[in-house]
Amino acid sequence: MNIECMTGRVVKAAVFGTALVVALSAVFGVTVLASQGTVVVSSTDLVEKARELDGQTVEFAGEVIGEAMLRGDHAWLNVSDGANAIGLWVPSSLARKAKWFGSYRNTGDRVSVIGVFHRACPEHGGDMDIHVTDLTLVATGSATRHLVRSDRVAWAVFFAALAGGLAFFQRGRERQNLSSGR
Amino acid sequence: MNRPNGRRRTAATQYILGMATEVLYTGALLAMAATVALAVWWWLR
Amino acid sequence: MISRPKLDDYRIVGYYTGSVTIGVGLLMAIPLITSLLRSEWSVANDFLLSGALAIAVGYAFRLVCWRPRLPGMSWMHGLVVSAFAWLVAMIVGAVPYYLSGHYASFLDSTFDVMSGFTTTGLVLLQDLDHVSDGVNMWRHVITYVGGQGMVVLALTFLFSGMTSGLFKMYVGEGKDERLEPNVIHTAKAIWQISLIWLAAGTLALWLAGLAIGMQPVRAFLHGLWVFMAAWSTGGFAPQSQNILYYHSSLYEILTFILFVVGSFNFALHYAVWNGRKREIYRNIETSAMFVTVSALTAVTLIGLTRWGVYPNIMSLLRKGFYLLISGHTTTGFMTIYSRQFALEWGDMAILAITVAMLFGGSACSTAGGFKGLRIGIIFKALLQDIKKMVMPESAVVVQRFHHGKDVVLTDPTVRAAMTIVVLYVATWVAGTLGGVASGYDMVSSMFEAASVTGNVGLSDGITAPSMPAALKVLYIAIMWAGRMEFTSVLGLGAFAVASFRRRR
Repeated sequence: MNIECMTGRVVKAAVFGTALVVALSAVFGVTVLASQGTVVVSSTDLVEKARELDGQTVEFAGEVIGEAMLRGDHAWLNVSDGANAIGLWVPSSLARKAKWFGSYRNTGDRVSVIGVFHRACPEHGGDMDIHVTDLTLVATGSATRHLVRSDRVAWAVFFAALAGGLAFFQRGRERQNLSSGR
Repeated sequence: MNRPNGRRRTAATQYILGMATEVLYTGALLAMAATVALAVWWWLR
Repeated sequence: MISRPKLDDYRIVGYYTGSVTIGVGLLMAIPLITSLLRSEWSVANDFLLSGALAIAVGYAFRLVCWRPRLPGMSWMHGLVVSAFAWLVAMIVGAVPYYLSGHYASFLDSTFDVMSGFTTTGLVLLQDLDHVSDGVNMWRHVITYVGGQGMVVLALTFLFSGMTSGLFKMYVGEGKDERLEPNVIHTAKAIWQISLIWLAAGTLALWLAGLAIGMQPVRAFLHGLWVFMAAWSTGGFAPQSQNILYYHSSLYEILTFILFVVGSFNFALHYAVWNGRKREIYRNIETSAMFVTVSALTAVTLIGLTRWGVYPNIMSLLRKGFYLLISGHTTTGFMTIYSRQFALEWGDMAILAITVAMLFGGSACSTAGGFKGLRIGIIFKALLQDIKKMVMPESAVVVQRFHHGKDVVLTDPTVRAAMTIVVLYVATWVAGTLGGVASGYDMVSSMFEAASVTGNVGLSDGITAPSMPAALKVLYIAIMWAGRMEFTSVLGLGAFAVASFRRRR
């Protein structure tokens, strides 16, 4: 790779990065303005400061994982911000916005939600959850690629051959002795 | 279990009966334990 | 002290350890097939690599240790083999974990394997929500096999040609009841019961999964995995939120029944399945369990109410009762975040769960802890002593208990039960000390140590990839010793000491 190409890439990355930061801060700015009185929280805040946040309107963002479990007019979404996954009780119409769900195959959609936090929800058997009133799609998910590493294939072949050889040799040894011993 | 082959059907029935007994008993045990505990809780709280 | 081991003693231990290792390697075929079916090619390759490695290691052990007409296995060998085989299995079983890239270190992956094989359920794996189906299958196969017993598995499938000395290995693994006169038949009966329950339980959880809105394939896999973890009182689950992920009382009730049934003695299952249904309520273990569960639930609920943790009866039952039984049966399924124990539950409820975790499930089951049998025996012994005090000196007080049949309580029985309980308590104190020494607070350390000692898997947040490596090693050792009920670990210890003693 030559240097010009490298610099080109750096410049491109810088421009793109700045644009992204501007766009994101615009989005967040608008959200914060639109939702006064809400607290922006992480999942760690929710778990660690559950008592003081209980009953408050919070804003929480993360990756939707697993699947949307539809239960009538609402659905459960589990959203993880990396530290913990938090259960969200979402109206079905809003839950449908999420199309990609985090798993081995996919990175899930990144959503930002506003809703009422419950430390121990009386309606849902004491689960820690957020009853969501508004859900925004921040970033769309994507399929994750997992490449087969050729060095590991080689090791697998090597060990398979070794295991097969040892098994053949040792079983033969033990069997021969059994038959000659009788 | 380990019955002669002729009685395989009986064995299958045995499994189902056995599992049903265990589930029912477990349910009853847990319900009773919960009831006792709730009674104590209600009395002492 | 035992005499200094001869070369043949090492050969016997190595040979059978090799066989169990081969068994672990063959077992990797299950996750391998899973990942092939789910087209996870790189994961499939990892399992091929690890399985082949395990089989190669196993045959290498046999190659080195085998000689014509090797003497038969003695009691000592049985104990040493089961203890040592678990350590080797832990290391080869950790290879696919480490290759998955979800672990911070190889130590962390061995921790998770030991946690799985001992049906503990503590997790150091990171980013569980993005783990492949193959690795999840391996995690749950490990707990399922560990619950029934790795040696039991090897007995069923690998050693069917020979019988002498195998009962010793079986006992070494913390199981001591003969369902049938022959140990191979006993092992097969255990697997038969477990596999039939596997089919029924997976079906039930699959249907429940569909009913709560999961996709068919995911609902099936989750049903299978959660069944395996519930039945073997393991406590792993395929999502980082554990059972909280499902947000479903139906799923909770099903797992609840499955892990309680799973904590029963295999001799009890065997009796009930053979038409002796009265055994289930006459047995000393189920009676002991009923008493301890009722008492500890009452304490938990009162504690939770005092501290104002849950708003209504429903949540008290779904959190307080569920988690107490999850701890008592040594399962470790969680419906709250681990830090909530430490932050919200209050000391009284925590104490109740800590005690419940130490009590544990039934003997000769997949559960850990003191076991109901020993609690019952010690209680009966106490009863006998009180009777002796009250009655005239010349009176002979005979105390009986019901376990399979009516048994007269004898001093050796009581002594054996007491010894094991004392060892459990000592181990628990050591675990607590380890936690405190690492800078965690006393109550949390006691809770986590009880969870490790009883092979439970409830966590109040101490077990994390960031915990000190020394504490990880200590917890691995405690899980292992607790699962083997000390005997075989002490046997291995004695064997090792004898090996290094100077010849006289």
